[in-house]
This record gives sequence, structure tokens and C-alpha cells, in this order.
Amino acid sequence: MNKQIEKKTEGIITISDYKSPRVKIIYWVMVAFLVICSLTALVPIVWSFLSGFKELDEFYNVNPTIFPKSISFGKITDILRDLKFGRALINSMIQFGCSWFGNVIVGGIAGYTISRLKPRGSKLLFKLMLWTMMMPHTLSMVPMFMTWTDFPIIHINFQNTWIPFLIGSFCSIFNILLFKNYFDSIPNSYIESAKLDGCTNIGIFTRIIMPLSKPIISTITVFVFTSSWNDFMGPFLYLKKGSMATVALQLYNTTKNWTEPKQLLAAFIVLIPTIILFMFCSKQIMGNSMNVGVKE
Amino acid sequence: MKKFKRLVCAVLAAGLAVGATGCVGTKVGQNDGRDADGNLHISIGGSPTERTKGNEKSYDMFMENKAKFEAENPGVIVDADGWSFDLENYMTKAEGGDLPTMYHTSPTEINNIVNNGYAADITDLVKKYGYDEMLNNEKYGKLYMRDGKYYGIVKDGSLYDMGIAYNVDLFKQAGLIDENGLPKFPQTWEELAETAKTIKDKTGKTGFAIASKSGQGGWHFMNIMWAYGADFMEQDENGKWKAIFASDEGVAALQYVKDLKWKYDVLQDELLADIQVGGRLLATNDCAMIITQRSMLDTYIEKYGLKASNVAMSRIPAGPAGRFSQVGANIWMFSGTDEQNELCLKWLDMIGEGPTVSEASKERMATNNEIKQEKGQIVGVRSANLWLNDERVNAEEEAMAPYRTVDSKFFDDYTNGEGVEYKFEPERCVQQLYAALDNAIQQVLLDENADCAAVLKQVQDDFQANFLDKEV
Amino acid sequence: MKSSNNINNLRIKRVKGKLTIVKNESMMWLLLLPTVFAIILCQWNPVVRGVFTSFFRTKGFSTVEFVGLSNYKNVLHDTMFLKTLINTFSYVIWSLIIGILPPLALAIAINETVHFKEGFKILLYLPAVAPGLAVSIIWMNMYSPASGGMLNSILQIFNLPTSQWLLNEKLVIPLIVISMTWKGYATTMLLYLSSLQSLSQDLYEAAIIDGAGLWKRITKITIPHIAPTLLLMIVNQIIGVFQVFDQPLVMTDGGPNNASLTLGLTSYKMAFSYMQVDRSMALGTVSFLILLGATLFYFKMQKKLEA
Repeated sequence: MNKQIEKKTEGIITISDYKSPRVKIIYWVMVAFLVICSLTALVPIVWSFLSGFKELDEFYNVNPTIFPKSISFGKITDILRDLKFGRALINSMIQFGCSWFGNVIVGGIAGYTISRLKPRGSKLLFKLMLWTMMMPHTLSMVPMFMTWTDFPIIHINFQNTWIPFLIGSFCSIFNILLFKNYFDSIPNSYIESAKLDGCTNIGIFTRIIMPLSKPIISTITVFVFTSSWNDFMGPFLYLKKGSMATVALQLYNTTKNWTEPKQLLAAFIVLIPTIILFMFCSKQIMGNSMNVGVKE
Repeated sequence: MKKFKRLVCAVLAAGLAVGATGCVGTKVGQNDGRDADGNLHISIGGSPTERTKGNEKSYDMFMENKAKFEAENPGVIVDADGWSFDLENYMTKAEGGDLPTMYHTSPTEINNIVNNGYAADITDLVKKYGYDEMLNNEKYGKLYMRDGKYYGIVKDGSLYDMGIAYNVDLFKQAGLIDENGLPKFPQTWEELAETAKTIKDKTGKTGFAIASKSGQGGWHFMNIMWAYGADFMEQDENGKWKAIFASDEGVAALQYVKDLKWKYDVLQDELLADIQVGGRLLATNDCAMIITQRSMLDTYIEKYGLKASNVAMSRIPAGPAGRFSQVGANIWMFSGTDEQNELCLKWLDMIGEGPTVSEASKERMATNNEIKQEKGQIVGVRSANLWLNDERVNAEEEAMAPYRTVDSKFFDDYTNGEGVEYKFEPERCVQQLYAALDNAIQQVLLDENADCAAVLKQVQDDFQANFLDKEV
Repeated sequence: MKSSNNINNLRIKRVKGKLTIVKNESMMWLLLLPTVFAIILCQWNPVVRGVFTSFFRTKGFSTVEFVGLSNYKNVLHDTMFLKTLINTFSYVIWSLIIGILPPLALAIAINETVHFKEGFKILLYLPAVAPGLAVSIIWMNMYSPASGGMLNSILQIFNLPTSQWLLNEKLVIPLIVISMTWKGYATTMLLYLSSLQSLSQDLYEAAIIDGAGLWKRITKITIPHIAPTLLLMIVNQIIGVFQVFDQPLVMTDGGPNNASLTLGLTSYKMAFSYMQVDRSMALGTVSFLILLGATLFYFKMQKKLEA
């Protein structure tokens, strides 16, 4: 145990502090705190996942059990069929693609421009973006819907297209901010030396910035995936054709008349892709890539 | 800083230019429904869109009808639309021009739909097809008419009214069964409370479950208030609407609900409940009685696995003022051009949903019953009908006979509805009224010391000030 | 002649230099164009349009007739308005009590531990990826007032009296806030964590050489370093929670006795249950103005922190 502590290189407490028993106690209290919180996070999830397999009377039993009487995988295939999972999955992926393009490509370029190229007026734009980010959205839903169903001037209804998802993702200011701060933190010396080697702006971006940006890109990719995968409001408003329904929308549409255990099970089946992606990227996300300070 | 301000101004101006180009008008018949080949489309809401396990029969029936209709009306295409009315997305669908040409909804929503310009006026069509001669508008007009104009057609002609549903098993356990094997139906609301108490004492299960949120509490409570002699609103000589439900009678009704909790203690633990909770408790044998309409039982059967053979229904109990039940119906409403709407009426007629009894309608009734039987739903109980005549009754009986899933004696008391007076929901701000009554119920259920008169008065004043007084 | 030539050359050079800058800059702005366009269309346009609509009577979503402040009068004179406003603030206050310190404590704890560090991170992040539907079912079950409800079963094990949970007017808001926090704390925690990790270890070492104890290190180094993030999160939380409507809608429908009704839920009901878009927009504008106060506060505080 103590060997692990000796490897500790970061944080407020350092190895030298561990000589004092008081600090040792503090450390273990902290670990206990983490264990308790992790359990609080994990137990309801595991419990409700298992509950998804329960029958209705078992689910509402006066003496709740943890394990269902039987776990039948037939229930899972039934749910996948009822959700028309295959087609919904493709639609969700298209939505994610639109969202990813806007957030990572457009957002990344915007972040880079503001952070490194700094054209005249970009500081003002950045300030404006900060204000916009902090602006409440109490008013947005209905007017935005009006805009997309009868686009000003050209009067086109963009329902049943992916345009609202694509354009809507161009202005995820929070992610642009993450990009900007990340690019800010790349030492100038890298770029100076590349310039000396005769790199153009584009060269710098593709050869220096992009490879260095893997952590921030994967972080934002996971954020974007989680939010577009769980986004039900957007598809609910703009994708009215049954053949365009995404997983989240199908979940909402189909499960309304299901019993609670079946709803839970469906919700957790749908969760699996997110968890897989998260497991793959967790190292990147948890790294030092998400500084949200707003210094200009 | 100056620059910044200028920039803000520019952005605001740009936003305004984009924003201020709305358009005004009714949303009925937004497009003419013709596709590139010149075919005219009509879409029927709540139809099966795909042949999936469990709905093969409904799907086949729809496709058969579609083929027949399209053959009879060249150049017309019938589309199935899976959407059925849902307040949450109604407006966005209506605004997006995305409503099915024909869909059904409850009478509660008609005011809002008409006022917001989403409903097609079908008066001329109704007259053309002679429906108006078969309708008793004086009695039922409130269900589908506004200001003397027709906006809807009662689906299948069938009406629903409220009654009490019983869990027969629990009544058996409590020994409350008569010589015919029927539960002993309470005749008055007071009796119902006593019965619930007996059930609770003998079986330990909830005697009576009531709804109290999502407007559904108010919707059910309305029947009790009528039974105690309360009324909800009236129009004064200037045409202004006044809420009048905080009368002595209304307070007595609220006191009754309060007693259910604090005197008899027969209600469910989940006091903040919608109507699904009651259905679920009934299905899992955790509750003996709920207020419901018959068609709702089919939902509980499908969703919670309620057993049709374990249910009985009686007419609504009486109060000091009599027996009153709200009557409602599924109303077909239309959103297309006149041409499309007319085709919809033809469609209804062809599939046998019209007032006349035809071979087509007999066949459809039989298929519907077959489908219901397969799902374990209730077949064998006639529902109240708008187009009530002997021919229709006989046809319905005939179509039911081979598929019966329940012994009709368990429902006779409800179907005969002896002495029940039908009432309609009030005409103004109905959703808001239900929400207000929900609130009153919640207050007396959760506070033993609540003063019913004060609670109801407060709720009435708020309702008057916030909704009735602000009606445009 | 020569000298004038020189001057000319210089001038040309300067003009050329300027030209290339302009060309470059317009290229750069071209890169920003999609973002700027989308910000105007998707962020500013709805606000302007919403405020605009609030001065009109509407039929469906379309404006019919200018009615001045009448929608505002209706909304502000609503007998429920004050209660709803207080409720909404109460959500915000509870979310600040419950939702700010625990994620921070967790972030610090994770940053300090060496045992099972990655595991803790993943476990603690799980609720954030759970779908909203599942979260509300889980918590409805937790709070079920029946004796079979999760929390009541636990109380019974310890022979404690069971509670009514969401049926209690005084408890309902903090309980809903707890369920929201359970879903939302992980993202906040991650942001604190990365802020903590961006703190240079040298600062601590220097402090230790100066003889600073644990407490001093926390107050003098850690807290000032994460202060900007903390401020951003607090204001974000205020703005986010102030607009809450879906959790109360699902869990209590605003009850019992309107004790959990919020401005957001009222606005939602006006638009979608009662089909009164005009009033809904007026109420939206009122909350917008209130929250603009929070935004102003944020930028003021942020300037102070920078200084």
C-alpha cells in the first residue's frame, strides 16, 4: 500500500507529509469518501439495470430484492426489435456525424483562429461569445423551431433534414472555449520553430497543432457523443419522419406504454455504446485538457 | 468598449432582421397534399405503419382498406400515420404542417385547437354526407361543435363514461361477493369509502386509488363534485365566465376526498399519482377499486398485464345530488384542404365507422374484436354509442359473440348505467381547471389539518384570476 | 529623384503589406464565418424573436396583433407568479448548497489519491452518461412513499420511521435537486479536476520550502487557482438550474400544492398544454432578464478575479 503512495508526484499532499499520522488519517478518510461516493453512483445504476429484468409485481414488491428471479436475454432482443434499433442506430450515427463535424472541425478551427491567428476584431468576437455562452436559453425553443420550420427570407421548412443539427452545432461556444484554451496552452516555442522551418499557417495547423490536440479532440468527441446520443428534444422537434427517428427518439416514442421495468431495461441497453466509448477515451478525458478559464 | 457596443448593436439588428419575418394565418390545409405525380395524399393518424409482431391483423386490415379505397378513388393515396394525439408534440406538429389529415383527440383539447387555427371547419361536409341528421347536437354537440360549426366527428360513434373498476380477487378475499359471484358494488360514494375500508381491513391492500396530478386528478374528481351537487362555472349577463365550484357542495366533495385519506385511510401510498398508478395497482392486485372508463382498462391490460377476467365494473356511485358521469369521446379532427377532408369522410364511411351499419362495418367490428381477443383485452361489453339504434346494437352483439373474453355480467351494471346522468366538461380553460382541482386534492390529501372550504376558495380565486379573467 | 523613388517604393511596400494583412485577415474571418453565422442564427435570433413575440397576441406560433405589455401584465399578475419565482430561487439555492462543494471535494480527493484512481474516475463519471429517462425512473423509485420504495426500505432496516419524500412540500425541492445533482455532478467534477491538474507542482513545493502546512497550501494556492473555474461553474449552475422544468415535470408535475412548480415549468405548460405561446414568451423574457443579472454578476466578478 505504502509503495503506491511513494509514487505520488502530484497534488497538495506530498510524500513528506505522510510522515505525520494526522495526514495519513486525512488521506484514508479521503479514500473512504471516494469509495462511498462511487457506491452512491454505482449502486442505483446496477440495481436498476438488474431491476429491468424484473416482472412488474416483482419490481413494485413491498420487500424489494436486488436480483431478479430470472434474467432472460430474450427481453433484450425483444426490446431491440421494438425499438427498430438497427435503423435508429444509423440515424443516431448521422446525427452524431453532423454534430461532430460542427463541434470538432468547425469549432476547432474557430478555436484555433481565435487562439493563434487572432485576426483584428477576434478579441471582440470572443468577448461576445462569452456573453452569448452565459446567456440564458429560456426563450430559445419555440423561436428556434419557428426558424427551422419556416426559414427567414427563403421560407424553407428544414424539418426532416439534418441541417438543424449541422448548423446548430457550429456554435457550441463551450467547446470552442475548450479548444481555444487548449491551443493557448501549447507553448509558443513549438510554433516559432516550425515557422523558422518555413511552415505555413496551414502546415502549422496540420503538422503541429492537430497531432498535439488528440486529447482535446477525444474529450470533445465523447461530450458530443453523449449529448447527441441522449438528445431527444432535437429529433423530437425536427425529425418527424418515422424512418429518420434516432435511438433517443425511439426510446421516447416506443417506451411510453411500457411498464417501468421494461423502460429501465431499454434505457440501459441504449446506454451501452456510450459506456464503451467512454471506457476507451476515459484516460484522455480525465487528463489535463479541459481548462475552462476564460482569460483572453 | 465603444467598438464592443457597436458590435452588439449590429448583432442585435441582424437578429431582428432574421427574427421579424413571421407569417400570420391559419394552419389548416398548409399544402395541397399533392405529390410530384399529382396524386392526392391523405394520412390517417393512429394507424399501424408497419407489420410488426402483435399487430399483423390491424396492419393487414389497414392495407386491405387502403387498397380498396385507392381503387375506388383513383389518384388518391392513403398514408398510415403512426402518430396519435399527444399534447406534448401537438403544437410543433401543427406548426410544422405535419399533422395527419385526420387524427383523433379528446373533447378537452378542441377549444385550444380551434382557437389556434389548427382545425378545419367541416360543417359543409357533415351536411353533405347527412351526418348532421343522425346526430343529437342538442345533447352531444358540445363534444364536436363550437359556435354552431362542426369541427369533429365522434370516432366510431362511441362515447365513454366513468365508472368504478373492481379487482374481483380482492373482493373475494374480503368476502364482499354476492350470490352471483359479483363484487358487492357500492351504490353511493359513502358506501364506496366503507367498502374500501373493509377491503383494507381484511386484505391489507389499498381500498381505493385516486389520481391527483397531471390534470387527471381533477378530471376524475369532477364526477364526485357533480355527485355532491357542485357546478364549475357559469356565464353572467355580460358573457363573463365565473368559477363557482367553491360552493358548499364543492367543499363537501373535497371533504369526502379528505376523509378517504384521513378518516377511512383507504388510499394508495403514492398519493401524488396519475391514472397509470391506479391501473398498475389494480393489475398487481394491490388495490381494489379505481375510477376509470372502460376503454382505459384495455390500456392497463396491455401495459400492466391486468387480467380481463379479474375485473368488474359498475356505474358511478351516487352522491347527495345524484349519479353523474362525465361523458367524452374520441373525436376525429381534420387538418387538410376541403378536398382531403372530404376523402377522409369517405374513408370513414368505407371502413364502416360511419353511422350506418354495412357489411364493411360488421366485418371491421369482428376483426377488431378478434384483435382485442388476441391481446386479452375486453370483448363482450358494449360501449355507449352516439348512433344508438337496434340495428347497431344487434350488429355489435353479433360481432362480439365469437370473441368474448369476459362474462358480461361483470359489466352489466356499468353498461346499463341506470340512473346515471351524463355531463360534459365545462367549456372554458378545462386543462387549467383540472390542474387547479389537482392542487386542491393534493392539499387535503397531504395535510390532515387543511380546511377544505379555505383550500377550495383559494383554488377557485386563483383559477378565476389567472385564467377565466384573462381569457381573450 | 532617387530619394522620391525610395519613398514611392516604401509606400508601395507598405500598401502591399497592408493588402496581404487584409487578405489574410479576411481569410481568417472566413474561417470564423460558420461560427458567427450560427451564433447569430441559433443564439441571438431566438432571443430577439422570442422577446418580439412576447409583445403580440399569438395564434399558434404566429403573431396576430400587437398588444403591448398585456402579456407581461397577465404573467406578472398571476397569483402563482411570486410563489413560482420563490420556488425557482429555492431550486437555485439548494443546488448551490448541494451541487457546488461535493464535486469540488471529489475532484480534490481524486487528485490526491493514488489508490484505484482511474477506477474512481470511471465509477464516479457513470451517472453522467446514464440516460435522463433512466435517471428519473431510478429516483422516482428511490423516493417512492410506499414502504417498498428504496429509501423507505433502507430506513426500515434501521427501524427508522418512513418518509413521504416527494409528497412533503418542504422536502420536495431539495430532493429533486439531489436527483439532478446525482446526474450532473460528474461533469463539474471533471472540470475542477482538470483545473487542479493544470496547477504546477512547483508552487506547492515552493510553499513547502516556505513551511506552509496543508491548510495554508489549500487556501493560498489551490483555491485561488481554481477560483475562475469555480466562479464559472457557480454561475453556469445558477443559470442552468433557474431554467429547470423537465425533472419537476416528470417527478411531481409541479406538486404537491405547487411546491415544486418553477418558472420554466409554467412557461412550458403555457406553451404546450395551454397553447398560449405569447404568455409563455413573456414569462421566458422575464426569466431571461432575471438571469441576465447573473451574467452581469459573473463578468463583474471575473474582472475582479483577474485583477
